[in-house]
Amino acid sequence: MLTPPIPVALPLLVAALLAALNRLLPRWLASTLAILTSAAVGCVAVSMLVYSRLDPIVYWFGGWVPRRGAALGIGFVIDGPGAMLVLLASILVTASLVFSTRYFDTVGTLFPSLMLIFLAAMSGFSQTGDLFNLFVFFELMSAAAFALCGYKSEEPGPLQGALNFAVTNTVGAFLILSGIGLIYGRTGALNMAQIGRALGNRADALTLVALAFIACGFLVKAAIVPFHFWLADAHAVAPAPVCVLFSGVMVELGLYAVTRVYWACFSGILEPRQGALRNLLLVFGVATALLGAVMCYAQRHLKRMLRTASVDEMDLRGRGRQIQATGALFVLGAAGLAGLPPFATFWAANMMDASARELGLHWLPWVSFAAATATAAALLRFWARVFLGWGPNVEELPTPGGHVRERPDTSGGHHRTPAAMYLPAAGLLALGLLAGLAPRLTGAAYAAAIHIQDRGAYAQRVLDMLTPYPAAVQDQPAAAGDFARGAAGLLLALAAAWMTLCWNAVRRTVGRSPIARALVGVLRAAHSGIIPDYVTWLIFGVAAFGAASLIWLR
Amino acid sequence: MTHLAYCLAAWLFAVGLYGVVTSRNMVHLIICLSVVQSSTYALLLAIGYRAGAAAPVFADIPSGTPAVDPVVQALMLTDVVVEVTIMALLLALAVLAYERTGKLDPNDLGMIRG
Repeated sequence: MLTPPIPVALPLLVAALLAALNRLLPRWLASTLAILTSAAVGCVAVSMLVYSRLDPIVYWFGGWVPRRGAALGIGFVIDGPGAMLVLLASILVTASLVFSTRYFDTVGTLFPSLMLIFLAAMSGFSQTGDLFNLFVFFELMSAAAFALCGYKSEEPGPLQGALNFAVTNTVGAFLILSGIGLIYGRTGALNMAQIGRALGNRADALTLVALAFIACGFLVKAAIVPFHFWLADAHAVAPAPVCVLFSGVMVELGLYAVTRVYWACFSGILEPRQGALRNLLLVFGVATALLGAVMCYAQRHLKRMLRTASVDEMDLRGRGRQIQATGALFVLGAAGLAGLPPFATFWAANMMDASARELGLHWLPWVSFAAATATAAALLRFWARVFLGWGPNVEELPTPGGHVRERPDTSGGHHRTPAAMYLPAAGLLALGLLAGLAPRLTGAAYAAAIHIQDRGAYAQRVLDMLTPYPAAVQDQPAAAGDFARGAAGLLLALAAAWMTLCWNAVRRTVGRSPIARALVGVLRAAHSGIIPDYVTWLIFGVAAFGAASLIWLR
Repeated sequence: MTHLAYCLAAWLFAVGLYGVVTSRNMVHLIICLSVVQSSTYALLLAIGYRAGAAAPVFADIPSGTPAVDPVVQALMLTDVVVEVTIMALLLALAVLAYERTGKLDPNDLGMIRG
């Protein structure tokens, strides 16, 4: 069994080769090598996904298998979610590399090299079963991401965005390392399964502080309020193909790490307090969804808005008419964000809503519906203005952002969108649609959720080499109401976009209302772009999380 | 003795963060960040410390002699290597930002706003 190290080792080796031959290799060869490497990692991920369906793959480096339940070596544990994340990372890196062949006109071999290091780190992060190894891959991922974020280093904007990103995430990394140290001091273990067993089922102040440190550190990467400030800055300045990776997979990896570490290590000691912990995380999650939606709708700078081409909506008004294919892709993307069936996002929203209702949180589906609709509305508003030329020429809402002086990423300008730039986008959208149409999608997702939550089974598989994993779960069909909600989201978003652009009365009232101005003013003041402010928010967030867990989780 | 080491770790963490939050110079801020990092060294070494134990090199001491925990030392060494990379990158970014704007005050870089 040789596959588990490949997604980490192969991109690292090719990255080193590309960097070493920086001046010798022609650009097209370097790009092609990088794309092939990333695609090869994708193929390995598919094979791991198939093999780990019923029984996770466990690989011990150097053959250091655990003896009597104690793991001395470092192990990779690849189950459904881990393999899926490796696949997602490799697909997005491949698409970004294809896109970047025409995106930068002056890219060297260093860009593909950095992208491959990023891919290797993300793969290792998704596969490892060792807490300290998780931290090392976290830092490798961070280092590659900082460099990629400030890649356009001839401008000051990207440099400052990268500094904001780097300082906040490094503080997060120190929190994680301190948490790991405390856990090691208590349990003498670094393997997550072994930690889960050693902690048993008693929660005390030390383990709760360690949990708060580790969780907050990963939540910085996941850009959860109030740790989210760096993300908008990084997005505003990073090259577009890098942004795809930031919101497409890196942020999700932060959430994955919280999920994995919680269920593998801490779920035992917090079993009686699970409800309280859920409420605590819900507060952070709901705050993030609402703030994200408001900021997105009040945003004029497209990439900041997407936190998710360095363009200002106003400059581009009506100019997009020549590139209708791009416009069509944009609308499809917005439809996906709104959760329109059969996009995979539709099923994800359904499953989240179903579990919220099961827990008696009947308000939660409405919050996520509102947030998704507002995000889609902001995108559609952009589309209507740029591609259809709707709306007036002057902006009346006091909008945050759009004050960065930027040079276009592509020099010279293309007359038509090159195929290398729209094909990756079209391919990713098609994958989103196909994933939504895939048979047994929800069943597989529920099975993965059950696996990741089964601490006992995980530990038995990793430490005792037993395979007590539960069987697959039935699909959860969507009701007619769910389909209606998906469609209503898109229609509502379209209506909201039309209203803000074309209905003068609404535009003036919203634009001039003191409440809207005050709200946007406060949010803008908070997103100051100043590192000490961000670190202060981070300290506040950790203190709040730590105090809440010491009070409610003990 | 060990309590002192834990207190030192907590103190370094707090004082480093205070430096980051109040810094008026990007290079100073990055050095403060490395002070926060030093707290993780102190913490890891304190966790592995055993009173009266030898260094965990069994070449010249009989096996079975009490030794301090080699795992945390390996962790610390990895930490040093990883963080040196990050610090070098941060300092390079700060130097480049200074070359482009002539400013080093983190409150005054002001190139991007929310």
